Amino acid sequence: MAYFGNNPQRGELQELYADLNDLNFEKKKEAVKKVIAYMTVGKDVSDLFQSVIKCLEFNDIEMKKLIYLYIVNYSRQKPDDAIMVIQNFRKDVRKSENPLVRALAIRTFGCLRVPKLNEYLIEPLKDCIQDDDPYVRKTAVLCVPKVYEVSPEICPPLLELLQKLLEKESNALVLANLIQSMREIEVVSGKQIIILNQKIIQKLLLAVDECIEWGQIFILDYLATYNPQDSKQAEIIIERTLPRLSHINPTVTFCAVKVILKYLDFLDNGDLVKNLCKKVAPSLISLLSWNQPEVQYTILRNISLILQKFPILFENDVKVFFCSFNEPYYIKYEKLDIMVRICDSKNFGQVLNELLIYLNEADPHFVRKTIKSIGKIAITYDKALDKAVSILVEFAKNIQQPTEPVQELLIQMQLIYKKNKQMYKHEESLKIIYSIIDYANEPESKSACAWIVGEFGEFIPKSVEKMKEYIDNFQMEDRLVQLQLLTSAVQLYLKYPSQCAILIQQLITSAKDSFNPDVRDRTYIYWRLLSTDPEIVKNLVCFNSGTFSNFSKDLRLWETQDLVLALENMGNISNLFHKLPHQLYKNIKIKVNNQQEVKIYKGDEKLESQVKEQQDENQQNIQKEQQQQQDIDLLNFDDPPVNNNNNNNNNNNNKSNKTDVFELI
Amino acid sequence: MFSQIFILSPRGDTIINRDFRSDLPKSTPETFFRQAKTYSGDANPLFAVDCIQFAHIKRGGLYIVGTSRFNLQPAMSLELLDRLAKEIKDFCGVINEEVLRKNFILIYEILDESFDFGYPQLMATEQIKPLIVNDPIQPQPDSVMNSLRPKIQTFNIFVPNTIGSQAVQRSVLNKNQANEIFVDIYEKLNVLFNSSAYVINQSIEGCIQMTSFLQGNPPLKLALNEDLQIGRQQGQYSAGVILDDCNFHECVNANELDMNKTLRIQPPDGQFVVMNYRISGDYAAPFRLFPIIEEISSSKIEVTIKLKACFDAKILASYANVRIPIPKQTANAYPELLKNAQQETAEYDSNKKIVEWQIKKLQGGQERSLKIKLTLQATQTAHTARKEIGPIAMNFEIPMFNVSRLQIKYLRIEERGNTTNPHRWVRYITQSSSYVCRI
Repeated sequence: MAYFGNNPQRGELQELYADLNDLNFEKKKEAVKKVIAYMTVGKDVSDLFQSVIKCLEFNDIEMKKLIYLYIVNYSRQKPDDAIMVIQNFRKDVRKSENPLVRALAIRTFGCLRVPKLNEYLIEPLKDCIQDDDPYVRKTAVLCVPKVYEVSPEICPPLLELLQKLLEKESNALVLANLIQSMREIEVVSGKQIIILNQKIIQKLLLAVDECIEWGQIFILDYLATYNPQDSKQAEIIIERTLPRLSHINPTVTFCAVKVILKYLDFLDNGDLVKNLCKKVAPSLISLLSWNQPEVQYTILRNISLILQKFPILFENDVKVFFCSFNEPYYIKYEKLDIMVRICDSKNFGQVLNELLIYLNEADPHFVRKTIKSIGKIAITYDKALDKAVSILVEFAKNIQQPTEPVQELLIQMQLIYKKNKQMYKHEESLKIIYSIIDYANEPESKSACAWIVGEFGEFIPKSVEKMKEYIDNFQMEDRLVQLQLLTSAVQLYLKYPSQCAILIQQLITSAKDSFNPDVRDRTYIYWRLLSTDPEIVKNLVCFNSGTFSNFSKDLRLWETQDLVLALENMGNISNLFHKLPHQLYKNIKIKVNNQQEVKIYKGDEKLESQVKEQQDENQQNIQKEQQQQQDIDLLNFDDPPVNNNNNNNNNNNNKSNKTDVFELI
Repeated sequence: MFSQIFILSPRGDTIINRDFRSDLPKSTPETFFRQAKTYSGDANPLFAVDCIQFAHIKRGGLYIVGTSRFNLQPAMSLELLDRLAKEIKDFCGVINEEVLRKNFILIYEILDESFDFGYPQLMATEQIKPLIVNDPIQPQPDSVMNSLRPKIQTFNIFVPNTIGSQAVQRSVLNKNQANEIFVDIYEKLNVLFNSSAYVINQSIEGCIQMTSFLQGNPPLKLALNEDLQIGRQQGQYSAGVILDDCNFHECVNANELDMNKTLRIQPPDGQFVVMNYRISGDYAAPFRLFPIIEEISSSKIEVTIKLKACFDAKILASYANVRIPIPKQTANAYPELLKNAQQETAEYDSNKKIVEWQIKKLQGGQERSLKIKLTLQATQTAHTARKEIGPIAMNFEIPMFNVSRLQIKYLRIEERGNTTNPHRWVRYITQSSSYVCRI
């Protein structure tokens, strides 16, 4: 504990200075230790630089390690003094018999990060890259990106050397470091540096077997960014990677999954692809059961990404994603999300039955998410609609308080009605939903209620009174609700012109002076239109479900063309946020991707419908894009983002036309 | 990759601070500590401040932190820190503030061998042992380094191709240890019943764990069931033990598993997991729960729960606890045990609204039951309140029993040499992971 005294006072520094210059070796060593201790806690001992480096004359490895630690820390503050050390380094690198000393010197040398020292470094570094000892080579190889970061202009000869080494190196650990450091330079510079050929790939694959686990990660991670030349090569790489699926380190397993999934694209044997999918799926599921919840979370986040490209992967395994009673909520939320994604026409019953049980959970937020998931399933899968609505109606029957799940229920019911207006008849759903309409207390759910009142005015008893109630409180409402109220009130007015005349007057008076330009503009538009030609308003306002059939048909997380890049980054932080790396990190340059077709792996049944849907969408968009865009802008300013997204997706599909639905089976 | 690794004391003082890349401000330890203190409980293992990611684990009250600006694999960063902690523990015996402060130079050495430029290098204790020159100060009696340390001159690790995986099994000389090896088969059960005791979902997460104190780390041969099969085909039923998936430690050679059902192992020192496995198929659940709920009147509910131990009468569960959540609106609850109940307790926790039923020892084939009488507050009727009962969760441990029937047929030491035959201990343990009955 004595090393950690107070601030090094003037006196203490002097004492250290005296000890450092003492003739006794042990005393010197103690003094250096003290200096390092001060340095660790952040006290400035840079004044002792000269005295400390003098101690380098001793050929004692422990002393060397200490002093190098010191030099690395202060070299940038005292670049001029640091030059004095260079000779020592060069001597160590060239003359020392002990590989440990050579590696230590080159490692430290690389860490100096003083541009003007780097030119002295090139020659020794070249020697070390060609050293006989693998330990020195592995250290030297990692020095190159260190130098590159500070002074890239002097590096080209080193890069050549690395490429040469890549061709002849046989030690697995050195290879792993080599790949990793060349890759880092690629990322920093945005240029391609690693040139692969058949032989090198063969060697890398061999190295994966011999390497320590972290090296395996480096190599596999790199292979996942490589595009094989043909199906045969892809097959070989997959074959060599398969054993890694049963590695105990979850990151190794995950990297192996990444490599295999990537190379599936290049195989032309459909049966093989199917078999491989069967091998990958259990490994992914195992990752979920053996690891601590944090790791599980990262895997789950990535599974939702994988599913977009490989819906085939978990076809029969939806049970795996059922939530356990004692899991943390962040895991449960992800599992809910994945269940919605896996849901298809075969297993929707199973999924909905499971979700039904979650509705009894204690946590209101979780119940809310469950309701949202049920709504999503209802909207996405036509066949599931009836059952989903039955579940939601049953839930609505027992509601007695304005809780959080109720808000979500109202929002989801609005979306379901929008998709299929006839659902209001199903099990008297409208009547039951209307009975809980007063429990709405969030802007979104209130606006959903206003929509329901306007849309179903003729089926709801006393709808005009209800609307009057809303309009009386108009000024207090959120902008979202106000906008919806305007549209709904006009809708109701068209249905009951005589009863609503005063109402609409009242609404226009209170809304026309709104501070919010959106609300004000919409008021004026309706006002003018109503006073000129009510028929036009009717066309605009009365919602016709026929024109709206391209309802969030899929749950895409990514644009299809980004999928390849996203999959290459599987497991990384960026995917945890469901973002692309360059969106998250400014220091990552976008790699120019020679765009290839993105294949989607599906089962039979889904495929057909998807093709049809897409054709439908395309046609519709071409015909109606313009008109629809107007309608949507005018009427659904603040529709839930699902719609907007969907529109964007469609547009993109049309423009790029790169999406290819790949027939697998 | 990691830009820095630092270790902070519980008060936020820097004990170790190693900067690999110098691309982050020097004040990151303070930034980290300030942010970590804003969490009410333990800080999230991973968070970001101003585009800097902080991954950390807590050991012995100390924060071991790695920082980065790169697009890392989060699972890997945490794993790396965990390995680092294990290394430090192997060298110093324990991890606490005093030991780390005393050994800070040693720890810098370990850090430098484990990471270079922030990239993980050699991270197994056996591998870096020969590269470290400092001795641990005040070593604890159980420190691995205490007696295993070879002298620096004796290492010959730098022969090409030995840095790789083979180096994990460097021989270790230790004369004080007893020559023995422990093998444990752990199985954790996930079972989900619906209210009529029908199994909705079930799986087993198992592992074979070894703790080796063998002298000279001789290669081992471990034989498993002969009817073992790995990988499940759709719709296939087989009488044997089917593992859906499994994975192995680096030191395990599983090439002969398919043929002879044997694993070849080069055991490192101390504890390690030989193999993890997962089984999703049907198996006989060791306990069955039968809940019955009756509405006595509009304000009274009676819950009866029967628990049946469906395993061999020779086997004894060491404990079995059942937790029954009851409605929030409960005014009072009276759990009643059977009159002849032995070594059983049942308590009602009125704050958490949970009834806990604890059974100390339960023999296979036995049946127990518990009756809970609930009185509700006036605000809720029995009809709506009964929905709030459950789900019932169970915790238990059954020693010397495993559900999967995976067995160790034999464990042989391949090169016996002149040492005496070591002791081999095999245990089977079955525990609950998530054993839930819905109502």
